[in-house]
Amino acid sequence: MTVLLQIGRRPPDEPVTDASHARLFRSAGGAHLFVADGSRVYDLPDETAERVRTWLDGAGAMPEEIAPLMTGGPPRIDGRPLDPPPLASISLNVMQSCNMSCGYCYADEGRFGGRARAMPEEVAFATVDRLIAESAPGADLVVGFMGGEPLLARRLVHRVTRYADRAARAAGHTVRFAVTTNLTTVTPEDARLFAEFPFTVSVSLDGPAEHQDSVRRMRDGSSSYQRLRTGLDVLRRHGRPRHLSARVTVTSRSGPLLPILEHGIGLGFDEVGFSAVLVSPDPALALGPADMAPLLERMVACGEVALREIGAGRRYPFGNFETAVHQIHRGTHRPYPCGAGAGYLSANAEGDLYACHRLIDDHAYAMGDVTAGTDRTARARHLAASHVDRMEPCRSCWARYLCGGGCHHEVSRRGRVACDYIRGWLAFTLRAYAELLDTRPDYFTIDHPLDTGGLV
Amino acid sequence: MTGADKIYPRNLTARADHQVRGNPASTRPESGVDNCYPGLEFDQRNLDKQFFPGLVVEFHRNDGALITGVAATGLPAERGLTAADLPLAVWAVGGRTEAGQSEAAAPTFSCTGLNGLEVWRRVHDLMPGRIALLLGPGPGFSSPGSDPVGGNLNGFRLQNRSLVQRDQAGRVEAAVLVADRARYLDPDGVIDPDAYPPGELTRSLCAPWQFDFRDCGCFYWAASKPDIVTSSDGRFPNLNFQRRDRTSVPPPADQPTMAGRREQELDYPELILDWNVLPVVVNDRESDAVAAPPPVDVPEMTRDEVIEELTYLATVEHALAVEYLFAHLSLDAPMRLPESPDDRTRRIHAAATEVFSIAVDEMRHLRWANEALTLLGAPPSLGRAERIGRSLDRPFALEPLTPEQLAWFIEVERPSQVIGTGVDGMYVRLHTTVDRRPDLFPDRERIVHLLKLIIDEGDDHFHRFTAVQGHLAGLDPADYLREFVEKPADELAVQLQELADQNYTALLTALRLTFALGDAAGGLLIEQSRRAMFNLHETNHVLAARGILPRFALPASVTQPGPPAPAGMVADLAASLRSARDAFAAVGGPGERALVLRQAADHEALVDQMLRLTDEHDLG
Repeated sequence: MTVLLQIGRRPPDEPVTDASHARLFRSAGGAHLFVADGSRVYDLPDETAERVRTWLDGAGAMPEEIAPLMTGGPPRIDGRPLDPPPLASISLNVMQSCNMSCGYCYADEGRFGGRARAMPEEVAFATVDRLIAESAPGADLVVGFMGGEPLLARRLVHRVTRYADRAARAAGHTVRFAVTTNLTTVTPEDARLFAEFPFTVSVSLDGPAEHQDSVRRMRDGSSSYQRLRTGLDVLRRHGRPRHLSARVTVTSRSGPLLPILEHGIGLGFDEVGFSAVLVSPDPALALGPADMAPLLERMVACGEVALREIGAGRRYPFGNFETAVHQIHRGTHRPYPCGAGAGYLSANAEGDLYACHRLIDDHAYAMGDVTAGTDRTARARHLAASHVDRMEPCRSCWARYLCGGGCHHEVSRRGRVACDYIRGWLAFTLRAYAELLDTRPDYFTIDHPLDTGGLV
Repeated sequence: MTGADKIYPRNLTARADHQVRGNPASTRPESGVDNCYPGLEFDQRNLDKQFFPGLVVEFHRNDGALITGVAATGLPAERGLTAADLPLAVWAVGGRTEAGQSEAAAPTFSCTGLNGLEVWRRVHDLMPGRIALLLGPGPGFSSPGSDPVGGNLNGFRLQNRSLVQRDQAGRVEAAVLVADRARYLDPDGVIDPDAYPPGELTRSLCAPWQFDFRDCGCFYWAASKPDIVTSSDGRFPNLNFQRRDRTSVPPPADQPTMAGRREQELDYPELILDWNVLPVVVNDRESDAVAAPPPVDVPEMTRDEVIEELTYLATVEHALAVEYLFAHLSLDAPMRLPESPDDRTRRIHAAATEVFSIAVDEMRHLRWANEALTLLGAPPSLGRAERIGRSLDRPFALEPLTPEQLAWFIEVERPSQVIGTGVDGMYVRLHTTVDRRPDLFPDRERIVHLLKLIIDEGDDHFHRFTAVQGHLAGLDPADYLREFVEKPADELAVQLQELADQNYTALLTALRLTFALGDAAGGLLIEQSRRAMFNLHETNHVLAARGILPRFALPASVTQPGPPAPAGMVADLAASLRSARDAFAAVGGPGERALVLRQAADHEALVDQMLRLTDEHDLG
């Protein structure tokens, strides 16, 4: 409480610029207005659009006809930080070690800069108990397995899954599971587990064989790509998870993304998504400011294909694209980039809790432990401090409630180096959304596989 | 697509942001597009049940529309129809349905095979003016030969020709009735209260006890109930919320068909009688934590005991009101929240407002207790209890709102777990006694109502004092409590205290008089008393802001037995008020004089009113 009072419940009151409240954009259908408050999208007549342009450029007053959109009613996000909500998901770093040694790995092969270690069973069970104890009555819960490579702790993953399912049901919850794995050691028994329980399995993928093996060799030098294909075969034959996604890590050496995307889609994943490396133990692999413009260009190239394919009624599971257009359709607006420290926490091998799986063992993000409970003060402090309306330069950015202020892990390590990239990507997806809604309105009304949800 | 020609909301939040303006002011009760009046104020079928003068029609049926009543006067009665001819079914209706329609083109609607709602839709379409109605036994003519008008009523309508055709036994075979469609509004534009008694128009809406509560699914917001729930222990998902069998383990599984579901459910009479067996549902899960209280079992009291207890309880309400007022004044908050308050001021003001509103409740309780006493023929009770509560025995005391004092208030207001404990517990016993003994309490209905009001409000106080704790949490008592000086420092303060006391006396004197007169006071004094109360409050705030304790000195005159306004009492009050005002104005500046001026008008009106009433009712 003292901390909150010091910080204050509201952000500073200095006016932000008009351009931070709205963005004008065009699609094949004409002019549109994106209003930051509530992430609302409107179609505008051309003459209104001209006046809005003048206004946003600071050369005129706000056009009368859009005033009701801009100032009608209280703001949806008013600067008050979220009080720590009940827990909805938790991840277990069951194995802080890995059988691969990818230079770009944020987790430093799971060690997070420390020593390799495995989570004891009593800590894992206590973590599940902690999630249930601090959740809302009847809420749907998610338990995630992270690492390192979680399947190196195979026995634990199996036992915890069954325990969590039993314990959650006894307490009136349903529970889903998420695991992030390199799939190189997956067994038929694992596949059956993933099929029996509602699992979202995220697989690390770098691209076609030659590309993946150039950055991701097994420790013994063998081909990780071949092991991955074998793993996919095991899933195909012994049990496919409800949702199978590929996570492609983009490094400074990734090159064009479209071939990688198409390769992943060809492998039969339900979703293929890119994640750019901004923080890496090997700084040479991390993307820098100069890499951002080419990255955006490559992402948009993929996005254009997705727009064309989906617009033509075909499936094209480019995760970043589908997530973005669906969020824009729903008008997702949030003052945080993710649920870290709010409804989501991550436990290390000792049972200490951190804001998320990428911030494991970072004392600045310590949030209690699984035995004594979450540290509400630390969570409240985190939520008060990381509210996007309190951030500079976020609070004057039109994209702030779509972006949420950027990944805590990346921002704390690298600062905000990717803002132009994020804005560029959102500008593209706004346009793509407007066009897709015209060509495929049904695309937004069907249940979307992405809604099955992951951890945060 | 080409460019938009107007601003159009595209995504979901933009669409949800659209302001729905509601119905225009010209909307009339019969403007609804279907049986639900826009806004669900009532069911249109209930409004149209008297669309034909002299008949009552029931549309809530699956087999058509039935005539269920014939008025003693009007065309149907003139044509010999009586209640003995009922039921009759509506076979056809005819009349103009569009403004541009000629009289000759007015259509006839056959009602054969239609359900009640469908018949009603035809009736609803009939415009004001001449209409025709074909009635017959049974739910509709089944063969062409049984249609005596050949499918067209318009000839009868145009000739204004009515007839009732009976068989040899005198049974109605068919009846054609022609009259002007009934108007629903009386000359003042109000739905005629004689035609529609209470409950008639809302019958069959989605509230509990009514037809559609059972029938409407959760997707229809008005029913505000779930369809599918999880059992309270969380073990059995997907149960039918309205299932009749609420004891079997496991509970009966929900059925996939509408017929199967309805078979499982409480039927209409069961739901009306037993709706309270349906549990509270939180997050789709039934809760067994909320249960009906156990039946009350308390010893009955005699009429004298009831009067004695109520006389005492009124003094407790008075004492609590003053204690809470004092606690309110002890908080360092202005009477009105300034334009842009800081967080501290906002929180203290919120706490003070909450405490004040509870004090106001206690004043209302004082009023209700006294109104109950008047109904019992007992004199008003305006004293102030020296000790509070029976089991909570504690002396009356003016204390600032320290954390300890707040904890004590919460304790006083905690809902009674055991009958007869706490302040509201005493009312429970009174309520039970009065409720059970109409022989002892001829005014039972009114008294029970007053006692129930007091009990219900008490429950809320507990939560509101707890909220006060929330408002003040984290603040240092030294930071939110005013510092009071022991003695008034100057003459102004002394006179201010005197003015406050005189306002308190005026208030109690007026209350004594108005309670004694009861309904005869015509509510005039209550309004004046309220003004006296605001003056007292204002004066006390000025006092408190200067760091001086309000005294709430209880005048002996209002508690002594005897006539409500003995000779000279009102005149004495008028003199005291005047001298208190003058003395205060003499030592004060412009601000003080303005306050005196404001209050003087109220005082004079109050005294005037009291004098008039004492005169009229010879109360001296």
